[in-house]
Amino acid sequence: MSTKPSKIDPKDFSKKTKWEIQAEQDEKVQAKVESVAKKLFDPAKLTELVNTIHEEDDPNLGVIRYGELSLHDAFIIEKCKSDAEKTSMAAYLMLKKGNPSMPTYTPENISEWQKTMPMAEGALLLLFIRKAPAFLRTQSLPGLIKTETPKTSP
Amino acid sequence: MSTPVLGRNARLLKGGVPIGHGKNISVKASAELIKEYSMDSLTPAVTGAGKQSFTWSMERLYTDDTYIALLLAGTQFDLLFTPEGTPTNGKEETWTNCTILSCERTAGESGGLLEKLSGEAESVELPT
Repeated sequence: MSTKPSKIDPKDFSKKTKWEIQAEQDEKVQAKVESVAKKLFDPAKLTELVNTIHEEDDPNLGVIRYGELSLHDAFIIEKCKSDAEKTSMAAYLMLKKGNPSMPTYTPENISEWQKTMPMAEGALLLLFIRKAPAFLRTQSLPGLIKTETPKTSP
Repeated sequence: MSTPVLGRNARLLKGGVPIGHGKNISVKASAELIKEYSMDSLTPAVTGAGKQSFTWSMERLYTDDTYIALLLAGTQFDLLFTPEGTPTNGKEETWTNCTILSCERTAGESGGLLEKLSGEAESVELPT
């Protein structure tokens, strides 16, 4: 590389030196690399998230320990017959991960767990679970009014 | 392209000629404390700023291989930048006779590029 000095007026910042141009090109390349890195899908990181046990303090229920739902859990939930059972199963599976001592329930007998849950705490628990990251966000709580999509004008 | 934030970047000058570009610079002027005590008091009788030092650092330096060799060998240079961030004539600040005292080089980088440099200047010329 040559070391021929630049003839630019040193105090004239409107005219860029070759090193300033080089720095700008470097920044562009770096920005491109970072944007690609941000978009890169990382399945290993995703797996770590599923195995993490979260602990959150709910003002009404106390400290709740739960895990995130996995793809396998989704297939279990799918086996439930009604929406109410699906919601209960999802909540149960999340809580079971954080509380392994809970009794085991399956899609066939998840209604038994529903029956043992006090109404007030059960409703609060469902509301809490719905805020958790991996709950089925599109699923409505039983009894709630469905969100209506505005009709498009003809 | 966005306008570069000149307050964070500086030109390296040698004899008034640009020889490089310093990215994300930081400058610090400091002085030693002069403190004199009288025999009959625990509080200082005189305090004041003493010997001054002007330190600077930059995240990256873009220049040529030859200039790098010269700079690392102790060749002095001036740092010119606009502290307000906009290139207004007469608003430039110059840190004169700068010397590199420390630098790092990331593995894999090549060409005229140094990273995390720091050093000292002899004096500062503030914008008028």
